[in-house]
Amino acid sequence: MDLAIIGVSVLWLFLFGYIIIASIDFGAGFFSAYSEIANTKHVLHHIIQRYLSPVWEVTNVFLVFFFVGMVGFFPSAAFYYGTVLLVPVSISIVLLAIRGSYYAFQTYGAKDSKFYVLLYGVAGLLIPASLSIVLTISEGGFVEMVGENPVLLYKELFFSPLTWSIVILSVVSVLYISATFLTAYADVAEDFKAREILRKYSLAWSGPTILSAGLIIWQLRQHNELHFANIMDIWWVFALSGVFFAITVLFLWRRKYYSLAFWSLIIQFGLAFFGYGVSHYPYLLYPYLTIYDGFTNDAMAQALIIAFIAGFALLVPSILLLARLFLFNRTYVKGEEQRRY
Amino acid sequence: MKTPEGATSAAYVDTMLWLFVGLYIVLGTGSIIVLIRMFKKNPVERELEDHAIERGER
Repeated sequence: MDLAIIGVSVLWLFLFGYIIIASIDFGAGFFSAYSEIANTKHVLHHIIQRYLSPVWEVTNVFLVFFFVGMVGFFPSAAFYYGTVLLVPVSISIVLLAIRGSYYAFQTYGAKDSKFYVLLYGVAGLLIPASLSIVLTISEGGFVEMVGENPVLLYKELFFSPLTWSIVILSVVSVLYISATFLTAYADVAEDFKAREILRKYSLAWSGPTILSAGLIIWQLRQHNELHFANIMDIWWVFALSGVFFAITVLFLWRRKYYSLAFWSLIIQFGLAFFGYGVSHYPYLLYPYLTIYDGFTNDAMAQALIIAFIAGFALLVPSILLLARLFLFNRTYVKGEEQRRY
Repeated sequence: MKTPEGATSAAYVDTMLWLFVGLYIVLGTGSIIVLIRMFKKNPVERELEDHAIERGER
């Protein structure tokens, strides 16, 4: 197997890790803010506050790894995307900073500011929306070469239906992933009132998730025929993803196996995400850039792959450890242990 | 490669600069306010006293 494929697969794996963990975090933040308005704070506050914690800033490590890997493996991708993504990614970074500052200010700050909680919740939804623009741009048609330099066509991007379907999918799936996780989490914590509400959220967002995913495939047919044809070649991957979606919904519907429902959701998103990635091959940016254009030299690629797999081997167990130590620790979840400060 | 040759050709670099300047102003003032409040609520003297009690010196 050639190094370019291994490289891009490793990066894709990191991105998938980020998407799942960050989605849970973003969505939990939104539900926490929403419960302030919807008067469900007394039910949901406890379980979400147990989950939300500055510790989850570790999720950004996945994102940093992804960017570093991108520059390392595909220097020319850094050139194209670095130029084109200045504005969208700057917006994401500002939002991430606002969101991160909430943790610090809220933990050590003087009073509960409702405005800040809302800002925090909304930022959690805007971050995935702004990051998802990258996927839209990669489909081609939004970048024009002026001389030697790529230029982003803001107007086309803003008025494209594809952009908005991907934005909708990103927001909706954040809510769906997060609600399903929190349902399972509330079940472990034996907080049945919260579980019922979260289960409702989860079921409510399941339909929009699958609809918007379908909408994107339909839009791609008009926007990028080659990609659409590639998707159709491996249609069974997406069909299988649909089966796991049905399993999750069925479990939630019948109020059974909440944890399994969440694992099934991960498989659903994993299949769709990797199916999407495989069908995108070999392009990084239609039609200018494939993974073979300007791939780094072999020695660098090998070193990077080893470093990344080692990084992954360190990062995943540490997250699992974090989860076991305090997230799924029964006394912690139920809030029996007192806070020291 | 000189610095001007390596600089991005992307548009709106200046706008983004102002955006980040704004962000740092907001975060900077926020941190100052939070720190001042923290120390007003829990002065160093009280903190030291609490620790002394914890260690069993009093």
